Amino acid sequence: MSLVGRVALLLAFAAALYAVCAALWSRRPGQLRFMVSAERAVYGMAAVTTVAVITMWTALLTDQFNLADVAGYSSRTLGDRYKITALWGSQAGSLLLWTWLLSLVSVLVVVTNRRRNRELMPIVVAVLMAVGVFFTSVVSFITSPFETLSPVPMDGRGLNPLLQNAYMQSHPPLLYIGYVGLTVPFAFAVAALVTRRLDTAWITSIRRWTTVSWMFLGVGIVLGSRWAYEELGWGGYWAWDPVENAALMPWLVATAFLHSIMVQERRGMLKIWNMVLITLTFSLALFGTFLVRSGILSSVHAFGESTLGPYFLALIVAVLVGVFALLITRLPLLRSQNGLESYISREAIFLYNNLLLVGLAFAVFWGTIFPVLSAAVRDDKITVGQGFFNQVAGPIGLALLLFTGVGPLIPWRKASGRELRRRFAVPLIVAVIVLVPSLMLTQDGGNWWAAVAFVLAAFTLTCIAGEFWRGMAVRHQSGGISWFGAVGQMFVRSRRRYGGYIAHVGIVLMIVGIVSQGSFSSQGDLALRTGQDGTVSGYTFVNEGGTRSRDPHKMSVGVKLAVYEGPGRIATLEPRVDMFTAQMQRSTEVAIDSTPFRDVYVVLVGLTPDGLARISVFINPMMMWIWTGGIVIVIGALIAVWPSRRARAPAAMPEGADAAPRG
Amino acid sequence: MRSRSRFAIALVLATALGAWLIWTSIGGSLETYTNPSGLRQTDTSTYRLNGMVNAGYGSAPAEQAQTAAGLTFVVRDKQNSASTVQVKYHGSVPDPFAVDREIVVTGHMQDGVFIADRGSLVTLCPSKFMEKGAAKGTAMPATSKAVKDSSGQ
Repeated sequence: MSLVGRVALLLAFAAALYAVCAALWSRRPGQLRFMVSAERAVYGMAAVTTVAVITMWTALLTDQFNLADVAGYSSRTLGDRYKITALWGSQAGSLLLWTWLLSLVSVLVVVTNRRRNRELMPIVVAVLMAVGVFFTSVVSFITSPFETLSPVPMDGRGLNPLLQNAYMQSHPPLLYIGYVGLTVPFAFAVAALVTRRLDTAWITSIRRWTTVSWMFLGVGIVLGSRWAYEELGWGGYWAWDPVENAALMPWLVATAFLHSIMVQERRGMLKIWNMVLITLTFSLALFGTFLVRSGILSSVHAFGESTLGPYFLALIVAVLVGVFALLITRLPLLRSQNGLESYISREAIFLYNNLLLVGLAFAVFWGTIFPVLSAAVRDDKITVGQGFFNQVAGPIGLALLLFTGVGPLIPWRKASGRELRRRFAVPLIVAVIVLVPSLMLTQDGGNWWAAVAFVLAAFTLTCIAGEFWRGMAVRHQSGGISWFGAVGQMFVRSRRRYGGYIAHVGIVLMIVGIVSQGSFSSQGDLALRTGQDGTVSGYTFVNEGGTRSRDPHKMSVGVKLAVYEGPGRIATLEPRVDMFTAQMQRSTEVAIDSTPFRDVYVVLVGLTPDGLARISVFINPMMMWIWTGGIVIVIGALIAVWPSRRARAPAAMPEGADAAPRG
Repeated sequence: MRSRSRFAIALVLATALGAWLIWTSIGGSLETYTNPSGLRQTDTSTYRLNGMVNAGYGSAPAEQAQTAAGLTFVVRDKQNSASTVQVKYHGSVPDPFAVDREIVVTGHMQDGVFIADRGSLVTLCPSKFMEKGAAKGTAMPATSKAVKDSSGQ
């Protein structure tokens, strides 16, 4: 087993190395046939990496405890579906997963560009495979997933119970698809720089890649939060932990990139800025991996100190220096075709949104690495508390929310005052109407900025609704089609624009959820014997008796709680504590009653033999809005990238040739 | 050209505003990361204390942490195990909390005891991505370093 895996990874390394050389060589005059060879090497690399992954899965499923990663992260009693996911339980395994995804993504890039971007493709393949060389050499020579053990243990140590759930099965691969997918726009950016083809062709080719990778990264982050919320039992979902920040930073910069490429497509501006953004995004994705592996920061996730840090740091430095050198030598080609004509124009708003997103990413970066900097400068290691992140992210988030609403309503180039008054009249009226109840809501103990957030959310939603309304009205009146048909036509003709608006709605829902939970959540502890009741924030809990059970894997204690709001019984919750016998590991199973307006979140802290149940209760308002917002963002992103019939036309044809201005 | 200089001014203002925001926010939230050896009895500022949990905190720590008295446990230095400090804690106790686990907890010194902030206890999960020697009592027969050597890498 070990031998098959190791040989497969060595072959993958060789194939990737060959692909880089052949792709670069094919750029010499008369050597074009080497490009065909390089593309075959990409297929070959993907094939052998797949063999390595299948080998690892076979080893996990058949309990080959002679492999260190199988013995360390699986056990005989582990369910098959967790044996599959145990692949990314180990460090080497998660790097193998990364390598595999990269190889599959590379194949997809080669296949989809068979007849396009022939000038760019050699460099694109070379960049992708150079990253492939890095990762295959890491899993071949530095930390192999196929290390063997002797003597062979009788059983494995098993997978950490905290990781045995659907969120941890899906969160790491989704996050990695996002990270790996963002390598593609980076590769195209480098290719555009190297070949000096700095028109919008490269941007057109990677728009979908970027949106889809951005979406996967976002889904990965949301699922990670959801996992923290449901599995860790502390009532929260985000703690500004270095590992969380590591995923958030590339997502923020990728969000900025998604918006600013529209300015380049439309107005030929921000060319250098876009190059910087995509390089930053890719570097931050690598930095995230570096942060997680290096052990330089203490984190809840604490992946243990490993020897990989310097390698990742070297790759990041190489990427930054390389792109910087390319940018310097190509500066004259990157000159803007247009200047900023007005501070109130679509491109200006995009610029503000970019500065805010990158500023936020920078603040998060600063807060995350502050301990390392302070330890280097002085002897003390100074860490930055969550308060810092909340204080910075709050105002920036609200400003972004405002621009989410304002941006799409402001025309390109410049806006006339009359036009602005007409478009913003209704949203402003709605904002004023919402102001009064919001202020009343936040009067008692809440934060005033929660009221600001609600007003901005209402304003932004009205702005978006207005855009839909105008789009429908125009089509209905001029095209003579039904209102229903008009909506359909909008999504068919201007997917990207209206998909984007739907993603904006998701963002607004999410911010409302985040602000509500942050401002109005409450918590209380209760100690109840059977039949006793206690109240937290208007919710009464009655202990209806404890339960105890035992199976070969675990012992469980639970308590049945009746929940009353006023006189009415609204739910029965059964929080539990499992004790896994293999690892003597405790695992809290929280019970949540969710409605659109609040979560009643109950943790069983302990149950004494004489029946005293200690529970922790969290009342989290509007949590469901966060998760729903995530789903809406995915729907919006999918609409935006869904292939349309027109997409098969030559890529050079500008999209959205219809009369409506695009967003 | 005039608009370009105006743009530069706007950019500088925005950056200054951002820097001010970061500066004021960071002021109130700095905590020194330290271990039991680094704690000073007389200093009452906020620390993030890192160390290993000693035995002897009694049974059902999660329940103790919810009582009025709180959970009291001893943290020892990772390097110098003779150096210890007593921690008093209220709030939720993470599941992996156990003897010899590495923890981080935020709080301040008061009368020789580290008074932890409510709910600030974090355990550093030992089983994930462990490369160094396996913890005591686990099924790992050899450290992966030794494995690497024996497999001829």
